[in-house]
Amino acid sequence: MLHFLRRRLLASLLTLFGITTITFALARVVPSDPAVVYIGPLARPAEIARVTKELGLDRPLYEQYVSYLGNLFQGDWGTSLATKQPVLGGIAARLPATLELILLAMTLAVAVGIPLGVFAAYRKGHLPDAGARVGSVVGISMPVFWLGLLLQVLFAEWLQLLPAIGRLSLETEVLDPITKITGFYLIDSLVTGDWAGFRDAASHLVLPTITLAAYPAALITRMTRAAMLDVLGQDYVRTARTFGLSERLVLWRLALRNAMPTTLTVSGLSLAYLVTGSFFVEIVFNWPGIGQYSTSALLNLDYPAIMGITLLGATVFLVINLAVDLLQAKLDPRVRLQ
Amino acid sequence: MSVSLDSPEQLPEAYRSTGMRSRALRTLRRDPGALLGASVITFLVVIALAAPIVAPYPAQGRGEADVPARDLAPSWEHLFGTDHLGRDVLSRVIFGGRPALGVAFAVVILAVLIGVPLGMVAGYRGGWLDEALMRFTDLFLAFPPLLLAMVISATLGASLFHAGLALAISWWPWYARLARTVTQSLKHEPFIDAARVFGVREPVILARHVLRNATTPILVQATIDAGTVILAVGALAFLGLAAQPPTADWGLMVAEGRTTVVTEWWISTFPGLAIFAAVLGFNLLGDALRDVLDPKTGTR
Amino acid sequence: MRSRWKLSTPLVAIAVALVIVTVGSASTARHNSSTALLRVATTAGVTTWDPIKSFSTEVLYMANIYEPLVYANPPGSSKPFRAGLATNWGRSKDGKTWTFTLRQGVKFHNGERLTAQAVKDSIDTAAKRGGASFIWSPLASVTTPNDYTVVFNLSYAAPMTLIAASENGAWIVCPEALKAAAADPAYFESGKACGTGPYKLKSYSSGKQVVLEQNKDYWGGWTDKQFSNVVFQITPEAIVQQQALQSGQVDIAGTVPVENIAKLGKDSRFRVTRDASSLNYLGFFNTTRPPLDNVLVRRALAYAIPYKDIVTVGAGGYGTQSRSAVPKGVFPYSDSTPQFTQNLTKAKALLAQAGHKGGGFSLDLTYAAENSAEGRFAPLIKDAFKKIGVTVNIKSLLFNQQWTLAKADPKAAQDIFLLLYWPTYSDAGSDNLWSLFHSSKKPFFNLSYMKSPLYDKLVDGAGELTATDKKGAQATYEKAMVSLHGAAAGFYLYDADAVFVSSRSVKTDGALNINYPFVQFIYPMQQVG
Repeated sequence: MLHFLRRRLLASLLTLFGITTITFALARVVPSDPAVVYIGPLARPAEIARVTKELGLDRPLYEQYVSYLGNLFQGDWGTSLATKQPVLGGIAARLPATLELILLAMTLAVAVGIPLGVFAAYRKGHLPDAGARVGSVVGISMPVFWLGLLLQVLFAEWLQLLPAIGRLSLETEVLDPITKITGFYLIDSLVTGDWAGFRDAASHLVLPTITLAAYPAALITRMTRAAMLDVLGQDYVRTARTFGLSERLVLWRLALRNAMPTTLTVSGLSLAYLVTGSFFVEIVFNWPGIGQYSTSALLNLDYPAIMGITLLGATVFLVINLAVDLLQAKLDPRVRLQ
Repeated sequence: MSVSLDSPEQLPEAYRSTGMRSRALRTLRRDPGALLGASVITFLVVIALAAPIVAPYPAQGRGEADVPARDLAPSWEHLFGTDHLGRDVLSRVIFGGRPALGVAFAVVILAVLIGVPLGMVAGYRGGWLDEALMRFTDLFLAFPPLLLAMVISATLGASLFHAGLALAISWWPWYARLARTVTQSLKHEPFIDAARVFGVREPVILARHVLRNATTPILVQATIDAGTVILAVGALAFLGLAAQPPTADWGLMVAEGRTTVVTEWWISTFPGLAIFAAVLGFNLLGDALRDVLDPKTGTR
Repeated sequence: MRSRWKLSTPLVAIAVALVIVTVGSASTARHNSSTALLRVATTAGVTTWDPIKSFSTEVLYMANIYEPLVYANPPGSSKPFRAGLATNWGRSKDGKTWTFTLRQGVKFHNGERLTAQAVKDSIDTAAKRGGASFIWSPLASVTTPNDYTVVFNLSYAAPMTLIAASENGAWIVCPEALKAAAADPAYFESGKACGTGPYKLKSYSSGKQVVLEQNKDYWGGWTDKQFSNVVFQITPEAIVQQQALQSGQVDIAGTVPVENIAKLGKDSRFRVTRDASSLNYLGFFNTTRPPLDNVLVRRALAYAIPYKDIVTVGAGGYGTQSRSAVPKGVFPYSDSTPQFTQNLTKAKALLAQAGHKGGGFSLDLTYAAENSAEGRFAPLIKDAFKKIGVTVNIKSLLFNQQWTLAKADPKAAQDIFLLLYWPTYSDAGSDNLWSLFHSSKKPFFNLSYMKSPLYDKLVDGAGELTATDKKGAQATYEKAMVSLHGAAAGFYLYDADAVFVSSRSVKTDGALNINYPFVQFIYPMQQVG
C-alpha cells in the first residue's frame, strides 16, 4: 500500500510539473504584454519599459520559468499582475466561498441521487423508474449556465422568493457581518448563534446549490440505478431473498454496499466536474469565489493568477482521483492497487 | 463523461464477441429513447446543413443586423423574437446548429482518430510504450475538465477554432485509455492468438480484428461525448472563449441575452433550449446504444 | 411502504429546509439606505493603492480620498477652474513660471499639516516615478518660497493648472506615507491611503469591496445630509449591478447594461444621472497596407460607416457622434470641425474612383474582447462595408493582445483597429490629437501609422501655444483637425456619455465631471428627505 502511495505521489508530482510547464508556455508564448496588464492601458512607453525591467519580464523565458518554479517550492505562487496581491493569498481568500458551494452541492447530489437511483432500480419498469430515468437524462443534458439563469429569473426576479445574487445581502456584510472563523458562513453563523446571518447565508445558497447539484445528482442517479440493477440480478441477492431477508436489508445493506464502488467513482468524477461547473454558477449568481477570480484572470491574461488556478485545479483533481482509488480498494477486494 | 475504464475485468461481455449486431439493430429500432434521440439529432443536423434554406432570415442568421427591429417579442414575423441587433432569433438558432454540431463531430472524430490508434498500439504492445502513454495521458487527464480548454482558448485568442482545438486536445486521452483497455482485454482471446500463429502482421491484427471488436464501446462513448462537447463549447462560448460576434452560436447567444433575460427572455431562452435538445438527443441515443449492445451494464 | 419512506426522507428534509429558508429570508426585508451609508456597485477594480503609481480604474477611489491643487470645472461654468488645495494661482507672461497659493489650515488624514513642502514632495515623486509621470515633463523644478506658496518652474510653457487638476499623477499625498513608500514600494498595496480628501480608506478586500469613511476634519465641512460611510462592491458585470440595484442591495449602480437604462429611468424608484464624458470610440485605418494606403479608399470607407446605428447599438443612445478625435466639451473641440455621415452612394463612387469599383477586397478588424460596446457595434461595420463590396473579418482579442499586435509590425498588423480612448488630463490636443495621430518611430497609440509632416507641425505648434495663447492654440488645432479629416486616417464613432443609475433616495448633483472620467464624486451627494 505504501509502495503504491509512493509511486502515485511521484507520478502526481511529475504530472503537476508537466502541467505547470504547459500552462507557463501557453500563457507566456502568446503575444501579450504582461507589463500592460500590470500598469493599465494608458501608460507611456517609458513606464512600460521601467515596469518590464522591474518585473523581470525582459529575461529569457526559461530563466523566468526557473525562477517561477523556485518560488513555487518556497510557497510563493507569484503576484497577480492585475491586483498586485499574492496569488496564493488571493486564492485562499476566495476558497471558502467556492468550497462551501461545492460541498453543499455534492451533499445534495448524493442525498438525492443515491436514494433515487436505488428506488428506481427497485421499482424497475414502473412509474418511479421512468420518472427517475427521464429526470436524470434531462439533468445531464442541461447546460449549467442556462439552468442557473432560468432559476434566477424564475425564483428571484419573477416570483421574488430568493435573492438573485451574492453570498450575503449587503446589509449583513457591512452592518452585521458574520464572524469569520472557518469562512463557511453556515458554520460560522451557527457557531456564533447569529440566526439572522444564518438565514441570510442560507437563502443565498439555495439557487446556486441547486443549479450546481443538478448534473451530478442526475449522473449519480443513473450510475446508482445501473449498478443496483447489476447487483440485484446477481445470484447472491436471490439467495438472500429466498432465505427470508427483509427487502429493506437486501436493498440497503446488501445491494447498495456492492454497488458502492461504481457510485463512488461517479461521485469522484462529479466532484471534479463541480470544480469547473462552479465557475459558471459563480458568474451567474455573482458568487465571490475562485470561479470569478479565474474568469477575470483568464480574460486579463494575468498569467501568475492563471498558473495558480491551474495548479490548484490539477492538484485538487489528482487528490480526488487518489482518494477515490484508495476508497475503491478498501470497498472492493477485487480491485488491486497497481 | 462516462465512467473511465481502466482494467479489462470491467469490460462488459458483449464487447468481446461479435455477431449480435443485427439483433441489436432491431431492438434499437423499437426503443423509444433511441428513436427520440436519433430523430432529434437527425432533425438538428438536417436543419443545420440546410440552414440557408430553412431559416426565415438567413442573412440575419449569418450576422446581419436590423437595428430598427431590435428586441421584438416573439410574433408571427419572428417566431422566436429578435435580439439586441434586431436579428431574428429563430434564424440564429438554426445557424447556431452549425458551429455546435460541427465542433461536436470534429472534436469527437479528431479525438478518436488520435486516441484510438495510440491506445491500441500501447495496449497491444505493453511494456514501456504502454507506460509512456499512461503517463502522457495522465498529464492531460489531470486538468479539471474544461480548465485546459479555457486556458488554451484564452491564451491563443478566443475563437471557435481554438476552442475546438482545445477540446480535442482535452478529449483524446479518454479514447486512448478506452482503446487501450479494450485491446488489453482482447489480446489474449483465442482468435487473436490464432491470427498471430498464422503469421498475420500486427498492424493488420490491430486494424481488422481488434478494431472490429472495439467499435462498440468507442461508438457508445463517442455518441455521448458528442453531447458533452456541445455542452462544453456552449460553456466556453458563454464565457466569451469560443465563437465571437457576429457568429450565431448558442452559448454566445445565451451570454448576449443575459443582460435582458428578465424582460427580453427569448434571447437567452431559445438558444439554451437548443443546446439542451441537442445534448439530450445524443444522450438518449448513446444510452440506447449502450443498452442494446450490452444489456448487463446498460441502464435498461 | 418502508422503502418509499426511506426514499422520501431526504427529499422531505430538503423541502422543509427550503421552506424555512424562504420564509426566513422574507423577513430579512430589503432596506433602503440606512443612516448615512451609501452602497455603490462598481466595476472599478484596484490595480494599485499607490496614488503616485495610480493610472487606472482605481481613480474612482483616489478621487474621493485625495485632492489635487485645483479642480477643472465642467464646460459652461463661469470659471475654468475651482479651488482645490490651492486657493489662488497665476502664471508669468511667458507661461514658464506658475505660482499656487495653498489653502490654510488643511490637515492630512494622519494629522500632518498641508504645507508647500508636502506639495513639492508629492509632485516631485509623481514626476519621478508616477504612472502618469509624463504629464510633468515640462516641469524643471518646484520651489517653495514659503509654507503656503508653491512655484512651478517649467522648461517650456505648458498649461500647469490643467495639468495640476489631472486625476492621474497630481494627487497630494501625506509626507509620511510618501517616505514609507520610498522605503517599501509595496507600502500602500495592502490597502492604505493617506490624503486630504473628504473620505478615508477604511477597509479593502481585494477584488471584492472598498469601504470609505468620512474624514470628519475635512476642510470643506459636512452637512448631516451627506454620506458618512461608503461601501463599493466591486462587480465586474453590468447585469449583476443592475440586479443589485433592483433588489435594493445597492443605492447606486455605476454601470448598467445600456439597453436597460431607459427602462430603469422610467421606474419611479430610480433616477438616471447622465453627463458628457471624455471617453470616445474611434477606429484607425492601417495606412501602410494596401488598399488602405489610398486616401480615396479610406474616405470611401468613412462614408460607409453607419454612425447613427452605432450610437444606438453601442451606447444605447447615450452618446453623440464624434467630431474628430476630440470629445465634445474638452479643449480643443469645435462644432465647426467637419464630420462624415453615412452615404453609401458616395462611398461606392469614391471606391470606383480609387480603382476598386465594387470593392472586392477584405479587411481585418480587431477590437477589445472585454469591451462589450465594441462587440456590439463591430458587426454593424461589417454589414455596412458588405453593402459596398468590402469584406470585413472581425477578430476580437483582449485589449492587451490587440495592442501588442498593433504595436509590432504595421505591415503585418490589423487593417482596422477599434479603440476606446480618453485623455489623461483635459487637453485633448496634446493628448488625443497628438498621441493618436502624430507620427512616431515606433507605433504607440498612433495605430493608423500615419506620417504627415503638416499635421505634426500643426499639432506641435498648437501644443506650444496652449499655455500662453489659448485662442491661437484652438485655431491651430482646428486646422489640424481639418487636415485629419481630409487624410481620413481614422474614423470617429461617438463620444460616450457617463451614465449611472441610482435609487431616488440619493441626490446625485455634482457627482459627475467630464474632466474626471471614471469618477463619481461622493462628497456632493446627499440623502433625499
